[in-house]
Parts: sequence; structure tokens; C-alpha cells
Amino acid sequence: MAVQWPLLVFSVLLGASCGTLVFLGIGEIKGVFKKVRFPLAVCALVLLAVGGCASAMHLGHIDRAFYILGNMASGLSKELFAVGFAGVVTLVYAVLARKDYPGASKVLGVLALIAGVVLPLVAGASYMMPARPAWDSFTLPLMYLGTGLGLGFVLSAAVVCLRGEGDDASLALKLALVGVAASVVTMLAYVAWIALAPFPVESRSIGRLLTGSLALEFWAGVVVLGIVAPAALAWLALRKADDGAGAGAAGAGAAPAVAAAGTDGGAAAGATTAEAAGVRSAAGMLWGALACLVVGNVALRIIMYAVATSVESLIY
Amino acid sequence: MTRYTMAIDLDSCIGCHSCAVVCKQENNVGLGTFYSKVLTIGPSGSYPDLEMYYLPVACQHCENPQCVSVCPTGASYKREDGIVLVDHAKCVGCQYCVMACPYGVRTYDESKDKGVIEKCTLCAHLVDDGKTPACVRHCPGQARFFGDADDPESDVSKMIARKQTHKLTDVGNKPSVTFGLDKCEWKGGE
Ligand code: SF4
Ligand code: SF4
Repeated sequence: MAVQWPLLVFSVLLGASCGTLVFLGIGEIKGVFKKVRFPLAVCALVLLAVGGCASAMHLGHIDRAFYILGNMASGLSKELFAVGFAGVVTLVYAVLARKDYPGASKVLGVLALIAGVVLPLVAGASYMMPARPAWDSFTLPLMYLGTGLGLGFVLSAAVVCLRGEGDDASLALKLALVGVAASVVTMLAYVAWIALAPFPVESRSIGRLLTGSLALEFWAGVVVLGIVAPAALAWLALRKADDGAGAGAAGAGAAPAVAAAGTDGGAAAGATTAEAAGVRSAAGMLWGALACLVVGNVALRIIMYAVATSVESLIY
Repeated sequence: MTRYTMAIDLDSCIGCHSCAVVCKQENNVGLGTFYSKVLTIGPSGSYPDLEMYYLPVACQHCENPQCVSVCPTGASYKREDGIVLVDHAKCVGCQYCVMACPYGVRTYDESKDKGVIEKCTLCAHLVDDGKTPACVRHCPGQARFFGDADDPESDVSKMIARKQTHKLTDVGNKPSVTFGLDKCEWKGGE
């Protein structure tokens, strides 16, 4: 099947939006990320809205878009409903995040977390159909969820680091690494399904990825940029921030001795600077990881469409 | 209950493509678009024991049509008499049905009602007029039969009774069109 670009863009942006919602939900439960929750919620909303507009470009009749809610047994109707739910939850959360309503924000944060997990699963499940063997597996919605967590967690952690909130940064960086791990595992699981899918023919074989016409997308796009690079960068970012914090702590530890000489203020400032520099360079690595993840996600979805030939392609 | 469908005697098909041509004429199917096509299967075997047959394909008017179950608008629907159709006034052109059909027999017809899905209608407009589909009427090999699969006296049931029969690969959609083939080895599906 030809690559459906509007749907591809939608699914990547939807993943990033949902991963961000899950990140915010975790933050609310733990009572952290207060300074970034508003910009991140707006970011999630914009990503979902832009993705939604992109997916509408796929329709032959945009004017009839609301007819799509006509058959709730259809994966597409469910998906539109889930997008609406996530959009409303995110909007209300964003409005609350501007003010100080801890109880309400926590409830909405949990709802955002639920929406962030459910929406990618619903969106991915809409592709599961026996007519397209390469799609007919639960590994596809799982891949939508896992890659979304990777995109959203890395994006959110980069924003946390950028704002220099040292206390939140360590948790954010750990979450980014968890998100990338989820992305790696679910990407590999989906690729494994391509190898195992029933009704094997050349057009949807694993050989097309390993050595055939999709080898560039697979090796350069998925393996190097989608898996290896973001994993390495997220790990290095965590190390960098830890090193900065370590240097900061060492500097602060030296402060009492130096205090006798009347320069304690200078030592404390040095500690903070080292920590902030570590977090800042971690942010840079996370932006790099995010860019790699985006390319990897696009590459995997190009493959996902390319191998989605029907059981028998009789006329088209 | 009426279950309109088609049965095709592949031993009688001469591969002339008349059905595909007359289908385009009857249904005003645009350039580059087909509701119906004739595929050549083979040759297979090794010389001098070679064999080959023609396989006319179109929508199989499935008993459990996946195109209908996935359609979010209800535009794709199955009539009481078994014919699967698309209501162009409701179709949003999301192409979800195109993805869900196991046989690749649905498409946009850009030259006609733009932005909606097209496929074989089993000439429902003729059937409702008491006639048979155009491809059945114009087949010079008399290989195509139309009728009620639930009526043992129908042309479809009679062909099924006298031939070895096959269907396209069934992934739960239960294709209703039957192919009869005695003289060659069936190469696909069930
Ligand atoms: S052959 Fe395809 S288009 Fe026709 S009824 Fe079956 S699933 Fe629908
Ligand atoms: S393209 Fe039209 S007929 Fe097909 S699933 Fe979408 S709305 Fe239904």
C-alpha cells in the first residue's frame, strides 16, 4: 500500500501528544513538574490539533467528517471519539494548570494519563484487520503506545531540563530513558510481527526490510535513528545531569571548609552552576534524541504502510 | 432468504475480457479504474504438462463483508438480498473499507463522483429491474451465472452442483462468489 502521509503525520503527532499527557499525569501523581505543566499541556493540545487536521486531509469529503461518528463498531469512529476525549481532558487540564487547584489538577492529570495510554492503543487497533496480515497484530497498537511514550517523555524531559528545575530534572531524565526503552521494545516487537505474519509473500516479507527495497528505511531510519541513537542520547543525558549534580554536590561539600575563608557564597554558586550546566547539556542531548525518534517513527510507519499489502491484490 | 451472488465457470472462460469491458460501459467506470478484471493464472507445471486458466475478479459480495463492518459512516452496507453497496451521499472517502477488503477490489474513481469509493455493484440497478448483471449477459463463453444461492433451481446453484468449486482466500469475510474449475489445478484461496 502507498504511504498514507496524512495518517502517518497524525499518528506520530498523536503519539508525541499522548506521551506528553502520560508524563504530565505521572508528574501530577508525584506532585512535580509544576512549572512546565502548562506549556506541556498546551504543547500536547497543539500536537493533537495539528495531527487531527493532518488526518482530515486524508478524507475525500472533509465536509462530512462528523459522519465518522456514525458506526461505533468501526475503529475509526472509536478513534475520533478517543481524540475528542483526549482533547477535552487536555484543554481542561491546561486551564487548571494556570491556577492553583491541586485536587482538580491531580484528577485531570490522572484522566490525561488514561487518555494518553488509551488513545494510541485505540488508534493502533484501528489498523488491525485480517485483510492486511502485516497489521493484524496487537503489537501494532503496542508500538503506537510505546513510540508515543518515547516521543512524549523525551520532549517533556527536554522542556523540564530547559527550564533548569534541578529537582525535577533527575526524574524527568529517568522517565525519558523509560520512554525510549518502551519505544525500542515495542518497535522491535512490531518488526518481529512482520516476520511472523500469516499469508507470507514477498511484498510483506521481513527480507524487504533486512536486505530489500526497505533496507534504508529499516537500518538507517529504524535501527540507527529510531533505536540506537535515542537510547544512547537519553542515557548520556541522564549521565550528564548526574555528573553535573555530583560536581555540584562536591562543590557544596567543600563549602564549609571554604566558609572559614569567607567565600562560602562563591562555593554554593559554583555548585549550582555546575548542576545547571549539566542539566542544560542534558536538554541538548534530549532534543537530539527527539529529532532521531521522529525520523525513526516516520521510517517505521513508511515500512508499516509499505508491507501492508492485502491478502490478495486482485485489481489494486 | 434471497442471497444474490455470482458463480463463474472458469473452464468456460476464454479470457476475452468482455466482462471487464462491458462493466465499464454499463457502470460508466472511469479511465484507469476497474470494477472487474480478468487475471491470467499460470502457466504452471513443466513442459509439456502445462496448464493455465483465467480468473475474472471483482467484489465478492461477502457474507460477512469487512468493508461494511469497518465503515465509520454506514456508507458501505449490505442489502437484504446480499448485494454489498456504497451510498455515495454518506461516504467521507476515508478509504478504511479499501484497507479492510482482503482482495483489493475497491478504489476511488477520480473521474466520477470525486472523493468517494467505487466498486462492483453486481449491477444492482439492473437486478432491481429484474435483469441480470451486464457481465453475465455479455459473456460469450457463458461462463458467468447470476442468481440466488439459496434457491436450488437458480443458475448459480446449478453450476455449483455440477462442478468442483473454489472460493478466494477467506479471512473471516466469507466471500460469496463461487468459481468452478475441473480441468486445471486451482492455484489460490480455498
Ligand atoms: S470483496 Fe471486499 S469490497 Fe466486496 S464485499 Fe468483500 S470485503 Fe467488501
Ligand atoms: S471510504 Fe466511504 S465507504 Fe469506505 S469506509 Fe470510508 S466512509 Fe465508508
